[in-house]
Amino acid sequence: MKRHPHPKMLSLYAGGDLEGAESIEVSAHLAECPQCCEVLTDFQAFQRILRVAVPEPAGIDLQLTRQRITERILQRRQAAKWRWAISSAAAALTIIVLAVVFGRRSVQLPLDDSLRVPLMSRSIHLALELPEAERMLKVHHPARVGTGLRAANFVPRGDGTFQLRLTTADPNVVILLPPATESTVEP
Amino acid sequence: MQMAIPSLDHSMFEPDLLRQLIRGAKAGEAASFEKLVSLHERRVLRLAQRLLLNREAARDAAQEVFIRLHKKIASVNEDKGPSPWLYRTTANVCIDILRRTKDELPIDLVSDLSEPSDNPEQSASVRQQQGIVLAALKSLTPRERQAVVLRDLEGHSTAEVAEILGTTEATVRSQISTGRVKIKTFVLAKIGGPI
Repeated sequence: MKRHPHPKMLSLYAGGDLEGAESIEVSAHLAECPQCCEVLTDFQAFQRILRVAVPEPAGIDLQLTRQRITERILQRRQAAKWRWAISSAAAALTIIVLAVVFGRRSVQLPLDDSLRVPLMSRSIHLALELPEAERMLKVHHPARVGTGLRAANFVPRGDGTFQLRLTTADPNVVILLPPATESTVEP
Repeated sequence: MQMAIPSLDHSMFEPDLLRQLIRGAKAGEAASFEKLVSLHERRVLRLAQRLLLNREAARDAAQEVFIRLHKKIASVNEDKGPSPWLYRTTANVCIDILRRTKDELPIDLVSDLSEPSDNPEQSASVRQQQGIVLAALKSLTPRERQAVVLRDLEGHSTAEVAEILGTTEATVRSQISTGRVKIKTFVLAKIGGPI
């Protein structure tokens, strides 16, 4: 290498970062060039100075760092516990709300308390007349014949009369039989 | 003064101990994670100081690194240990801080180096030289500074530096050679003569 190597090449050589042919060429040049040897010496000196220029971390800095890390990790753990507690509570609340909503739909609204006593006697009376009720069902609602009867109640109509309310095995089917000829099926 | 140069070699710590601590930390054992922190905090803080040249910013960076380790402990390789991940994350966190602060953090490491001396003039001279060298390091771009610090101060090979920074060896050589030339030029301009 007759030309002087670029200072970057010399800096790489000084740090042991040149390999192969490049390293051999620079070595050969340095053997004949005191000027480049001086530059190389400078680079090596600067690398030594740089290593000691930045001090080791002070004890107080390590202590403060450790303290802060511990605090933040504790905060993260507490936050995680809160998130878990809130999620569990939300899940439990959701389950409760769903249970109430769906539970209500399947609950039959109770009749007026004042009607219960008379209905008791009527229910007992009906127990003897359920076959009649089934016969009426076959006549008026043949499609519902297969639906087993579960209960029969008298329900006030608002005009002082009562209609027969038949609850079937199908929770979606309730049959109302008024005392007159018309009848309705309540889906 | 020649300093022992560490490397990415993880045999610095007992491998079985490290594996055990990492498994414990992954299982949520606080004591295992604290032990991992204590084994690596000095190296992380030192690297952060060397990159940021500011003690408070370095402490913030080191905290952030270990908080991220706590979050990502599940992804740490038990055989390799956390060192590669810690070096990479420290470099990234410091780059983020330098960008956020536009690399205008004041240098506040000078006073730590000088020890009480019978020769105050000599101490002052040492502090002055140290200040110039640190200013020279600060004059590098963040990427050049990372490469020079990891290679010349931390003692990693160019291959290891490339792995840490997620780049090629050719790029690392370019960055460290540029950085070394800039430092030499800066210092010689300040002191006005040979060192």
